[in-house]
Amino acid sequence: MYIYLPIAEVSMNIFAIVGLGGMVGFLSGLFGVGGGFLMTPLLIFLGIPAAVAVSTEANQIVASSVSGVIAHWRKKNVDFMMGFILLVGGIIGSSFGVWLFAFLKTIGQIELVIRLAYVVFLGLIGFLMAWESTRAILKSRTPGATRGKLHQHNWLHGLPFKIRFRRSKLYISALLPLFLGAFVGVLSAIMGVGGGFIIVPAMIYVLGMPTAVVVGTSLFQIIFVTANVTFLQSITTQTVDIVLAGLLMLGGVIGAQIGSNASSLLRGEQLRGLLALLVLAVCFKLFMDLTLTPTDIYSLEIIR
Amino acid sequence: MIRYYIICLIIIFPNYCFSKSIVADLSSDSISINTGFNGAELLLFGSFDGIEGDDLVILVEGPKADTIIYKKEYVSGIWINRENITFKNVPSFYYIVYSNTKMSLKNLALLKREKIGSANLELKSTRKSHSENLNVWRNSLERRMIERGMWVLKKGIGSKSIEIKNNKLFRAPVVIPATVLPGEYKVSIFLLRNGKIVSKENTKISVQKTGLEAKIYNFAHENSMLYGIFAILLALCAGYIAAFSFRKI
Repeated sequence: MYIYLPIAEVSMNIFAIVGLGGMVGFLSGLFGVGGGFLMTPLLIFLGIPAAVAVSTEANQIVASSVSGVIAHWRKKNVDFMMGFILLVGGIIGSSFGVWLFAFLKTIGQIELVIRLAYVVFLGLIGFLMAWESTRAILKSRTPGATRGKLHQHNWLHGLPFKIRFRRSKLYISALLPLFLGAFVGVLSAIMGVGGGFIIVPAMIYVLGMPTAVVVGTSLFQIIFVTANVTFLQSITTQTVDIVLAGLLMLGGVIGAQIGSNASSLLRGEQLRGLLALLVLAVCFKLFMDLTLTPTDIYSLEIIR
Repeated sequence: MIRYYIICLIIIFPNYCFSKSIVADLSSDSISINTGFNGAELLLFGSFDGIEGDDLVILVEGPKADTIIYKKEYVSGIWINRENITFKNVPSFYYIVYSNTKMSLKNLALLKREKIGSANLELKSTRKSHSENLNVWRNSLERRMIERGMWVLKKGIGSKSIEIKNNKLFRAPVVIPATVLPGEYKVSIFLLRNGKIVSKENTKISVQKTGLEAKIYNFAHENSMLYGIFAILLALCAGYIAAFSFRKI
C-alpha cells in the first residue's frame, strides 16, 4: 500500500516506513540509543530527499525523547540545571545549524555535508562500539578484571562561571556544558539526530557526570533542541513532513517497547557488537557513495 | 441548400476544413495527487484522417521549472559538486510518441523547425561562459531526465506507445510517474505528411494536489510557523501517549 508524502513529494510503501520506524525503534529500545543516526541515512537510502529526511527525523526524535524522558523523570534521573545549560547551548548551536543547513542547500552542497558528517560520526561510533563490545566479551571471559578510575577534575572544569550541579554532584564551569550543547546542536540540525551518541559519552568522560543521570538529562535537552530544529526547519526550508514523521513515530513507539522488553532476554555484548556492525555497514555504504566514481558525474535538481 | 454551402466551403478552404481532422480525447482530463497517489496511466484516443506513410506524433508537456545541473569532480578522495549551470524553463515532464520507428527526413526536419522533441527544445541557460561545451551540459540534462522517467520518447506501434487502426483510429497510453509536479499538462497530437503538419489537436490534463495532501503542503508553505508548532505538538503528544500507554506493568 502506497502513501504519497506531501512534503517529501514521493510515493512510499507505508509498511516500509512503519517497518523502518519499528526496526530502528526496536534497536533504540534494546540499546537505549536514540536511533536518529540510523534512521536518517536509511530514509535517504529509501529515496527520501536528504533535507526532508533530516528535518523530519528531528521531529520524530522529539516524540521518542519525550516518551523516554518520562520514565527517567519518575526515577528522578534528570539533572534539570545541567539540562537547562545544555539546552541553551543546544538552541544556539541548532539555530546556527539550521542557518548553515539552508545556506548549504542553496549552494548545492547539503547532501555532501550530511553524508560526510555521517561517515565521520558513524565511523567513530561504530568503531568505538565494536571495540567496547569485544572488550566486554573478552572481559566476561576473564573474571576479576579491575575497574577503571572514576572521574577526575581536569583544567576544563576550572573555567570561569562555575556552577553547582546538585543532581550530578558536580561543581564545574557552566561554559563546558554550554559549548558541548552548542556543538551537538549544530550536528543535530545538520544530521537530523538527537546527538545522544555524542553527548552521552561526553557527559560521562568530559563533564564527569554520574552515569545514572546522564541518559535522562540528555533526553531532556534533546527534546528542546530537536523541537527547535523542527520549528526552524519548518520556517526556513519547509522540509518537515508530518505524515512521514507520524508514520515513523507509530513504528518507533511499537518497536521501542518490544526492544526494551527484549533487552532483558538477550545477551547485551553480542547485540552491541551486531549494532556496531550495522552502524559500520551504513557508514561504509555512505563512504563508498562518496568515493567510488559515480555512474554519472552530472546530477540534477529541479527548483520551484 | 446547406449541403451546397458546405461543399462550396470545403472546396474554397480545404485546409481550414480538414485542419481539424484529428479528434482526440483523454480517458480523464485531471489527475489528483492524493494520499494514495503512485503515478497514473491515462488513455489518449481519437480519430484522424491519415494515409499510408503519415507520422503521428503525440506530445505531453508538463509544467516548466528552472533546473540546475551539477557536475561532480574528484577532490581529495571524494566526489564533490563543483560547477553548475541552470537551465531556464525546462519542461519537468516531456512525453513524446512517434508512430513510426523511422521517420522521413522531411518530417524530422519539420520537428526540428517546430522545436518538438527533447533534442529540439530551445533551452536557455544562465551562464554563457560554458557556451563551448553547453551541449555536454544539455545532454546530461536530457540523460538525467530520461533516467528519472520524466522525459520519455517512444517510437513505433505497440500497446505501450501507440496503436493505430486503418490510419483512422489511434489509442495511446500516457504514463504519469509518481514524481510529477502539479500543474497543467499540455497534450498535442500532430499529423505529419511530407514535412508538413497536416493537422493538429490540443487538449490538456490538469494535475493537482487534492485533499489532505494539498492541505498539508499549503499549510507547510503558507503558514510555516504554525506548521512548525503543530509538528512539535504532534510529537509531544505522541511521545506522551506512548510513555503512558506502554507503561511497564
